[in-house]
Amino acid sequence: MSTENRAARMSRLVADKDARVQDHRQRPLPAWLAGRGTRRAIAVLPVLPLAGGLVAGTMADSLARTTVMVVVVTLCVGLLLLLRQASRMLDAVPDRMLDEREVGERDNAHRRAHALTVGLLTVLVLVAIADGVMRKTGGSSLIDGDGWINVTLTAMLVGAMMPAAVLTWRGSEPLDDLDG
Amino acid sequence: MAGNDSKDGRRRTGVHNRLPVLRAERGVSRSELAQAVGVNAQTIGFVERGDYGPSLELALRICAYFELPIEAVFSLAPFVPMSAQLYPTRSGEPT
Repeated sequence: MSTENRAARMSRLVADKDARVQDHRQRPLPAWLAGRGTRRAIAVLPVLPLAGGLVAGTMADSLARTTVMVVVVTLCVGLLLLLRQASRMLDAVPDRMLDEREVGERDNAHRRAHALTVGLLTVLVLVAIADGVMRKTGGSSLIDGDGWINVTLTAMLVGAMMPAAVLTWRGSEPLDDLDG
Repeated sequence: MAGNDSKDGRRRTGVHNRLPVLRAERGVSRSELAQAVGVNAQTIGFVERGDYGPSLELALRICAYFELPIEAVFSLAPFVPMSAQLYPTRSGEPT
C-alpha cells in the first residue's frame, strides 16, 4: 500500500471515529443523569475509592487487602466512565472536537482539578510525615510500608478522575429546547 | 467585566444579544446557526442566555451569518425591546 493511500485511510478512520464520538456527545443525557442534584452527587463519589484506598493502606498485607484494592480499582474505572458520560467526555476528547466554549470549560476544570489534586497530595504528605514521626517515636505506624503503594495508587486514580468530577459538578442544565 | 450569577451559579457575561429574536424572525434553529458558525448547538444556547460571552471571531461569524453589523446583534447595554422601537410612546420616547 502506498504512503498516500495509507494516509488517506488513516484520516478517514480518524474522521469516522470523530463522527461517532461527536454523535455520542450530542445525544441527550439519560433522564437520571440530567438533574443537577444527581450530577453533583455523582461528582463527589470519588471520595469512596479514596476512603477505600486509605482503609486498604491501614490493613495488614493479606487477601482482604488485595480484595479491597481490587474493589477500589474497579470502582475507580466505573466512576471514571460514569463521570465522563455525565460530563459529555469533555475532558477526554481532542481539541479538534471542541468549540471555544467547551475548550474554555475544560481548561477551567483542569485548573480547579489541579488545585484539588495538589490539596489531596498535600494531605497525603502530611499523613506520611505524621506516620514517619509515629514510627520513629512510638514504634507504631498509621500505614504499613506496603500500604503506601495502595494509598498512592488510589490517589493517582482519584487524581485522574478529578477533571471529569469538576466538569460534572459544574455542568449546567442541558437545553431541552435545542431547536427552539 | 461586570457580571452577575445566573440561577445555576454560572457567571453571567455583560454582553447582551438579540440572537433569539433574530433566529425567530428568520426561522433559524439553534442547530442550524451552530452548524453555520462552527460551534456546538449548546454553545449558541449559552450565548443567548448570557452565560457565555463569545469570542470576537465567533461574534463576527454570527453577525456575518445574519448579515448585520455587530452593534445590531451584540451590545454591552441591554437592548431596547423591539416593540418599543417600533411603536414609541406619544412623547416620542421609547417605553
